[in-house]
This record gives sequence, C-alpha cells and structure tokens, in this order.
Amino acid sequence: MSLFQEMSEAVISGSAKKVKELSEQALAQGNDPQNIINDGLIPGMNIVGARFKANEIYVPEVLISARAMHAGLNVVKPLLSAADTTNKGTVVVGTVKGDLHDIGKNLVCMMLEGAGYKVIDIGIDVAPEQFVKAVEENKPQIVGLSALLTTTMINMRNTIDLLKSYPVKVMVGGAPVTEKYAQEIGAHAYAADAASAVDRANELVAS
Amino acid sequence: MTLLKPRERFLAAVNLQEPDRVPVFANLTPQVAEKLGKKMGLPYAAEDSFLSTRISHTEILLELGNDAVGIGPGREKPTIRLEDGRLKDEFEIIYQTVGLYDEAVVRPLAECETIDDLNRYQLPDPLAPSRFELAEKMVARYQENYAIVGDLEATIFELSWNLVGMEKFLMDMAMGKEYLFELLDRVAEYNTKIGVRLIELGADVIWMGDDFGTQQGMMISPAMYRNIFKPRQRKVIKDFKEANPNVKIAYHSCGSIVPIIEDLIEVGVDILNPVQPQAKGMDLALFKEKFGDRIAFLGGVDVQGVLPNGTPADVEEEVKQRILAAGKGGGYVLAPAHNIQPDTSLENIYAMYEAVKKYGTYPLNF
Repeated sequence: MSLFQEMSEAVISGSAKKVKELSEQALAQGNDPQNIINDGLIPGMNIVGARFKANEIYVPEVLISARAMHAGLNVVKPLLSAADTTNKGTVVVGTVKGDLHDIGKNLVCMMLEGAGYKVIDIGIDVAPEQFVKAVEENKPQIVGLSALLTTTMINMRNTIDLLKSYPVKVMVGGAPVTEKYAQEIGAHAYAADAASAVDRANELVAS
Repeated sequence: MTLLKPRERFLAAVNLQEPDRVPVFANLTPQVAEKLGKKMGLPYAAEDSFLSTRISHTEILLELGNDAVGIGPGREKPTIRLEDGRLKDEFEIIYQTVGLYDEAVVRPLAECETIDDLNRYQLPDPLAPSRFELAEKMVARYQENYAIVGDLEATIFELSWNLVGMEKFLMDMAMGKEYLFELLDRVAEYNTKIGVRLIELGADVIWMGDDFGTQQGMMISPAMYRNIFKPRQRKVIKDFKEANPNVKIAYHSCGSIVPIIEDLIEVGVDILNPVQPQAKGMDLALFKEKFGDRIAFLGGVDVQGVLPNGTPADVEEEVKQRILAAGKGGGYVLAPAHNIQPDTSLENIYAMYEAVKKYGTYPLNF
C-alpha cells in the first residue's frame, strides 16, 4: 500500500495518531503539502462520505474520521503557500439567528472540508447581517444556512434576502427544512444531510 | 355510550383496547401556554421553569382535552443564575439562553478521559426528597380522573452525552473508552431509582427516552445501539416492571429510528413515541400494521409543518389521517410529535382537539 493509501485508510478508520504520523512522514519524504491533502486525506474522507450516505457508517464514525483528517491537516496546512490553495471553493456556514443547534451544521462543515472545500464556520445564532459581513470578508462561492426549529427557519429567508445582491449561492438544510421551503425562500440548493450537502455544493460550484 | 373517564380512556388505549374515543396527550412550549392561559383564564407559569415542560401547564392541557397528566422529578438543588447571566443546574451543566431555548454550553465531563476522571464527578442524589414533592402533589390531585405519565426522557444516552458534550461523547463511544460505559451505567442507575420512585408514587406510564434518530435516519448504527444501549434499556425496564408489573413503558426517540423498533419492543417498550411524521420512514399506518398487536403509539401529529404552518382545516385532516392510520382497535394516543411550538396558532390547537372528538370516537367511522 502506498503512503497515501495508508493515510486514506487511517482517515477512514478514524486513527488520528496514525494520520498525523503518516502526514509527517509524507512531508519528510518531500511530498508537496497540497498533494498530501488531495491524494491522502481527501480520498479517505470521500469514502467516509459515501459510506455515511449509504448508512454503512453513522455520526460517531464520521466524527472520528473528521478528527483524523484534521490531525493531518494540522501538520500540512501551515506549510501551504498562498499559491497552493487549490481548494474547490470557499463555503461560509452558520446556524441562523435564534438557533443554537450545531451538530448538523458541524457535520456539514466536516464533510465539506473533507471534500476539499475551504470552510468558514461562523457558528450559531448568526444574524443575517453577520452572514453578509462574512461574505464580504471571505468572498465565498457558497453560503450554507442551518436551522433546527420551525421558529427560526424564517431567519433563513431574511438572510437570503440580504444576500441577494452578492454573487453567492445559498444552500439550506436542517430538520424542518424541505426542498419546497428552500425554493420558496429563494435558496439555490437544499441538502437533506451532510453527505448530500457535498453533492449540492459540487453542483453549485459547477453551475 | 357513556363517556369514559380520561384515565380509563388513556389506559384502555395503551393496553391495546378500544376506548370510547382516541385519547390525547399533548404538551406545550411555555410561549404557547402563556397565550392559551391568558385566553382561557388559567395559570400558565411552568411548575419549574427549568424542568421538563411535559409536567407543566396541566390545567390548560386538561381543559383543552388531554387525558393524562405528566409528572416528573424535580430538582434536589435549584438551578442558579450565575453572575454572567448564564444558568447552572444541579448536574453542573451551564446553560445560555438563546432564542426560545436554554442550551448547554459548559459540560462537567467535557475533559473526562478515564474512570478516575469520572469518579471526581458526582451525579446528584436521585432520591432527594425534594425531587418528588411536586410529583406527589400532582398524583394526589389528578390520579382519580387522569392517567399519570412519569416523564423520564433523556434516560441513558441523552443525560450521559449532556454531561460530556455530544461530539466528544460520540467519538469516545466509537473508540470504546472505558469511562463512557461506566458513565452510562451510573446514569441508567440514577434514572432507574427516580423511575421506580415515580412508579411507587402512582405513575401508570414511565415515559423513557433517548433521541437516537435524525430527520434522515439513525444517529448511531443499529449495531452500536444493540451493543451499548439495548442491554441497559432492558435492565432499566425490567426494574420498572418489577416495581409494578402493570406499569406501561413509553419510549421517546425523535427522528427516524426504523431499524430499532423491533429491538425496543423486545426489551419491553409498550408505547412508541413520537413517531415523527416527517422523519424518514416513520410511517404510522405501516407501523400499526406491523407492530400494532404488540405496541401502542403516542404522537404522530406533525409539528414541523402542519401544526405551525397549516390552516385549521389542514390540522383537521392531519388528525383524521393519523386516527385512520393508527386508531383501529385502540392502541393510539394522539399527540403532536413535540411540544407545540410558539409559531402555532391557537386556532390550530383548538382544531386538533376538536378533530379528535369528531373523528376519534369509536367505533371509528371513515
């Protein structure tokens, strides 16, 4: 097995220690940091995403895989030069105002990061104006909005209204959110779960 | 036919017998209770603003048409407000109020790695006398006419992860950390003691629960559920039924939990709640057909769409459909799938109770 294959396997099995060691080893062998991410870490997370979507693994396994991926990213990321950032795009993600629920949102962030996106997680209880500020600062291609409560879903609409004058696509999700609701409020995409959030993001950046 | 007492109606249904009509057991968020209370001229303050809302707003709910009363454990030590405005409860969890909910932000076992670490944390005293004062009063007041439901949701998994923090808890579980299994045992024992006491006080039903579902499916694998939680649930339920063989066990899990329903029946669950209609695969009609000779259902009414966003006519249709799906032969208690949310109109709430009378009277006539 190649070093990169071994790294992917360690991401899949959630072994943070092993991923860290293999990342250090890969650097010591002179591998380019971006290659380590693209050929070692991301392929592992891609498999994790596919298995999650197929109900072969569940949230605990995804979390330990994401942590393992981060153990590798922490080693190689500081060595990336600005020119190296060949990520697929930037996504700003947050839970809308009035809503503190973050488990689903965090899973989406992990999956997007694992798929090669630069993810700016701006947290929970995020007001529409804060989303706008994050868009101005980070110039993302996509903004992801999360809500768990029917009483906070309205803040998705308010946020989308404010974001209309910016060149970003908006993706929404969360337990009470449906495809129909997403269309009604003018979102560009709806994702039912963290794995399909990656599919929707891929479609949005391709469109 | 003479009308049954609400208590008889509810107990017949959960014993899989046909009552005079489908019983109801709804719960409210405090904001809805306030609106209703003002309109109805009834007290709407929660019994204890930091305890489950499932034991509050009793007078309003009975006036609306509930057939059972929720009781539950109180606190040994009151929740205190810290100088920074956050709240700290007797479990040493610190909460921050955001929007309509208090959300935990500091967990006492956030750094726990070993059994030694765990030993430095002590759960409160489950049998502190102050914990049962309110429950005792409520049983004395309501037991004659209403079924008594002892609310003990967050029985094993949820209270445990609340102490640790969910992401860490799930990861530690996937890695099989020893402290975690010891914690689950201690939490199960803690709630067993409380549940047994509620049964001794007169609870007809113990409403256990742990949310294992997400909107789309299981949060953890069915295998992990079976290895870790199922044996502990079996033991807790056995202890409850030893305390009173007639006690019925209701089990609450939000979300989609299709793969483990058969397991829940096997360990002794009698009533499945809340059968959240928008969660994937949670099909009440199908479940009635498949499991209806072995368990009753409590729930089914959509709080993620119809109740907050529909018209009273939509609500009426929703109630009709749920009764059509699960009412046959008894075994169904109609309830919203969660506490009625603040964005729900009072008209829709009235429509729900009215529709149960209209469509839920036996013999069902569709």
